[in-house]
Amino acid sequence: MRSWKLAAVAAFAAFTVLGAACSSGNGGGGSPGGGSFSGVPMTAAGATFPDPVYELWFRGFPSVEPDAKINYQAIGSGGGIEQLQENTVDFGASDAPLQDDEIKAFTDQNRKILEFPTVLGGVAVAYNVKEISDPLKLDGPTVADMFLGKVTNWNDAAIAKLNPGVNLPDLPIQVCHRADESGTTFVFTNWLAQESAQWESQVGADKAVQWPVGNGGSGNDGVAACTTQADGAVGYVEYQYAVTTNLGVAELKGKNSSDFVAPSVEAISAAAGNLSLPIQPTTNVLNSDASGAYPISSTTYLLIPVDLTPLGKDKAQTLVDFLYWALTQGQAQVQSLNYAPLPDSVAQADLAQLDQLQYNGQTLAPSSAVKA
Amino acid sequence: MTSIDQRRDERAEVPAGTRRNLRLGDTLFRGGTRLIASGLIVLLVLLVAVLAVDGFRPFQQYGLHFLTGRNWNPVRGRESFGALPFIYGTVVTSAIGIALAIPVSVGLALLLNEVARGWFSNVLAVLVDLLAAIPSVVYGLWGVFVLQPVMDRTIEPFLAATLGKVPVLGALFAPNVSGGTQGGDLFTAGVILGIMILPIVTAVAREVVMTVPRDLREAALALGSTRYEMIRMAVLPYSRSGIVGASMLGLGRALGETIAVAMVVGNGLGIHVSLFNSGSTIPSVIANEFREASSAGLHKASLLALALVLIVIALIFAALSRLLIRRSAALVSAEPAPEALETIAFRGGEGGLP
Amino acid sequence: MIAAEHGSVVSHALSPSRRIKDRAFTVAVWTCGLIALVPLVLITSYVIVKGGTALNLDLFTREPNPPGLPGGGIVQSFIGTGIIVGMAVLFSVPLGLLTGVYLSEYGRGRFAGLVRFVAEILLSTPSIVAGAFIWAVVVVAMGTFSGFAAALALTVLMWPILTRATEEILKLVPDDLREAGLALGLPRWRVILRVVIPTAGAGIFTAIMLAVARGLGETAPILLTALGNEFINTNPMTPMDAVPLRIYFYAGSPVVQFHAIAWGAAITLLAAVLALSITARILSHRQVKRTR
Repeated sequence: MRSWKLAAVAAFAAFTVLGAACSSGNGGGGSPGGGSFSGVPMTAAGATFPDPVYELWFRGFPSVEPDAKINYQAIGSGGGIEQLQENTVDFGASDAPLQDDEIKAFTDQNRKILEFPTVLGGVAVAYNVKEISDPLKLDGPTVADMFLGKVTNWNDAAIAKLNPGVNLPDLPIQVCHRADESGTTFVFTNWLAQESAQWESQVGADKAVQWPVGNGGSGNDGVAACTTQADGAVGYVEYQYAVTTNLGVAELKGKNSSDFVAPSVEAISAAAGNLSLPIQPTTNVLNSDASGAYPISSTTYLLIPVDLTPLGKDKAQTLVDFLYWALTQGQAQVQSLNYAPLPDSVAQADLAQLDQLQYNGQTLAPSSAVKA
Repeated sequence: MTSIDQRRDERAEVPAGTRRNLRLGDTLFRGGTRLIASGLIVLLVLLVAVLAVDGFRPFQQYGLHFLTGRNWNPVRGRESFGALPFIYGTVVTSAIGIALAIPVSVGLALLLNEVARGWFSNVLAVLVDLLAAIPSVVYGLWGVFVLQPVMDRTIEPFLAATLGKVPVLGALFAPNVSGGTQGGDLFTAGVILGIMILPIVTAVAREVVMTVPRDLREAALALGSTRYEMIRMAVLPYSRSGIVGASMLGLGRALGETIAVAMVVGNGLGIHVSLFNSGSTIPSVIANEFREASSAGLHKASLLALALVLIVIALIFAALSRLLIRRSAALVSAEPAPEALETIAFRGGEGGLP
Repeated sequence: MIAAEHGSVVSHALSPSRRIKDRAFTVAVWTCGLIALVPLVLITSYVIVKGGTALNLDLFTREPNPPGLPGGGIVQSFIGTGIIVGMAVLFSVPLGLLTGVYLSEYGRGRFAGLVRFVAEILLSTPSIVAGAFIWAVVVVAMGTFSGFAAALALTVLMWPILTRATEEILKLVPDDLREAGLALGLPRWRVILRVVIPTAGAGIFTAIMLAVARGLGETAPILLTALGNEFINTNPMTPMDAVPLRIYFYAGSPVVQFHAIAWGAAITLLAAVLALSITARILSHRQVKRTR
């Protein structure tokens, strides 16, 4: 009888000691003096748009800096901005550029956030219609009407007009959209607003809108899942999500396009010409008039506080190292996942932005581990 | 307990010095456990207080319109927080769940107590109780990959073609605003809720039915009634409030169920007549939007206000169902049966009621 | 017995309509039994079949692979669940036990009645509310999501369970034992600690098992407090993963390899929860027999 009490106390004590050891264990990141900097664990959250690439990067970075395990939770662009604001993560990610009141909210906290474009992707209009084998051709107004609930069946005249000779089934269109605050929604609805006056006035463009019809999914993966699960569904997802789920991908004709363009690394790269730093609330690469450009291309940003002092020396160094690595060696990995690397000029300007990050008033140079 | 205190007199026989020590030890122990017990009260007060304080601003801004407004838009510049779509979704899905669960539960309770006998009844009872232990996320996983496709492709089109044609009521089973039955919707969520609350309603219904004394039953049989008539005359009338109490319990669990519902309800923001439309419930919208909700505006506060609404409803149902179950027991002059441990542990799941 | 004899004696005197109603009733209740069994059978069989095929050692030993690369596992989720539920047990068992002791041994009067009512309300609190509450207090104060906060959220749920269960179990211990202890000169508190609780030992252990089973399956409170993690993390003061959380994320993903992992995790979780429930049931039946 007494022994179980003793056992309980011992277990509690052991647990406390273990907990203390673990928390201090994660503090030391490897100091100079012998080995190179090995990084420390960090937490980040945000966009699902670039998640396939970020997964690759964050899981691959420990091979360069073994202890730099960056835990990235893809909770949506809105979530990334919010968690950064509440300081529960070390940095954030979003495919919508920070808007004025978001910037102001950070300014109110005496913080400035620098947006680093990392990679380019495309928002695909994906559909689940087994009867159609070749990619459908769609234009902006038609897509807007589908998401407005005005075009409700796949054999509608508007779709047939753009796809002469294609046998369209009599199948209701089931719309899939985002249930959370999303940069992908921001990009997509901005494009729809450019293409359709009715969309602009009735729904508008933002990270979350009042969708007239459809089911909501969480994250790009939620929309992709929603689309694969419903016959006749149509959804908007980052291109890679459509590829990995074998959904049909529409060829789109934007208002500046001369022809219908399918998303691809080349078509997305072609749209990036206008991208310049620093990022503004209105920055976008939609409806580029470059030849062969995909109309709904987008870049995505990592949201980095300019003042890294609150993070501590080790995390600040890890972050600088990761950014440097992602903007140099990391770029080579993205094409295999159907994302487009940043144009050289943008990558250079991005690297130059690194000099604006401060720790205790000083710039941090990337450590030797990533400059190899 | 009472007999122990009568023993206090015995202590007069213990020597004085020892008595002081005994009293100190007893006082400390009793005081200590009482302190911890009061911690439970502090916890509840703290919970309600924190939610009330953090969730106050939407009520301040919108008043009761927060609960009756149809427009839920978290985007800055267009902020509007009306929670009616979620209240609607919660009520509808729970109503479907309870409508499906009550008849089956009552039938099951009668089967287990009156009709089936011996080992078979016990085994069946155990199996139904095990339904309560299945985690909500496993229900959701099954719901997404097994139930929803069957609903979308087979059951809902069938209902739309049959019940959907019935005048007036058919509007509930009409195709959704996209013209089909695809995707997560209120009906699928309601069905899953029905399955999830079945064990708890059955367990309590069984206890209620069990408390009807044998004399009443045997009197009816002695008068020449069949088993059905005996149940109708002697058992059900006295169990009625208890069964309503059991249903309240199930309803309370249904109202708070989060994860399984969030996975199959479709996450729509509108209010439509047809059950085959996507919808949201209060717990599902909290789960979906909480981590991205901005604390600067009203979004996070609105979600916390909704959490407050949930616990207030829980409080009301707690009192109501307790009252009803006691009333049913009182009708037959019996004590309510002590709760089985499993009922206590899994009454909640992802939300529940006593 | 009486019913059976009675039925056979009277049956030939029954009017057809009464007999039909009685038969119909019997059919109806048996149908209810069938209807109740169908979901149980369907769910467990799907989980067994789909989960069984996905079970492999990698699930428990490797971290997730990036989407596109097959294989990988969710070892960090199992570790996280172990730490989070372990901490929750550490917090809630002493609290729940001692509250239950208070209610059972000293619990007459209005204060005890209030504690019981509060316990009932907390028992009925939707678990997402517990998660929101802990977020507002602990996550905001700590400035980070953490396994510790998740453990606290589970404690909010498990404390009332253990309280009510302990009270029920201790009530089953006969007063004679208490009186015997007092008659031997033991002070009240010693009687409780050295006589009552040990006698109820197996029952209390059962209650803990059931509370653990409940805690293992909770997703919503962990969703709001722990954030999640794809790396192994043993520091409870930072974001952590948990098995039900990982199932929830992967179920909403279009990546097919993640679906398989979700089913594999689900069968593991279900097996653990059912094993605990069934063992608890067996133990409590034995306990009830022992104290009768």
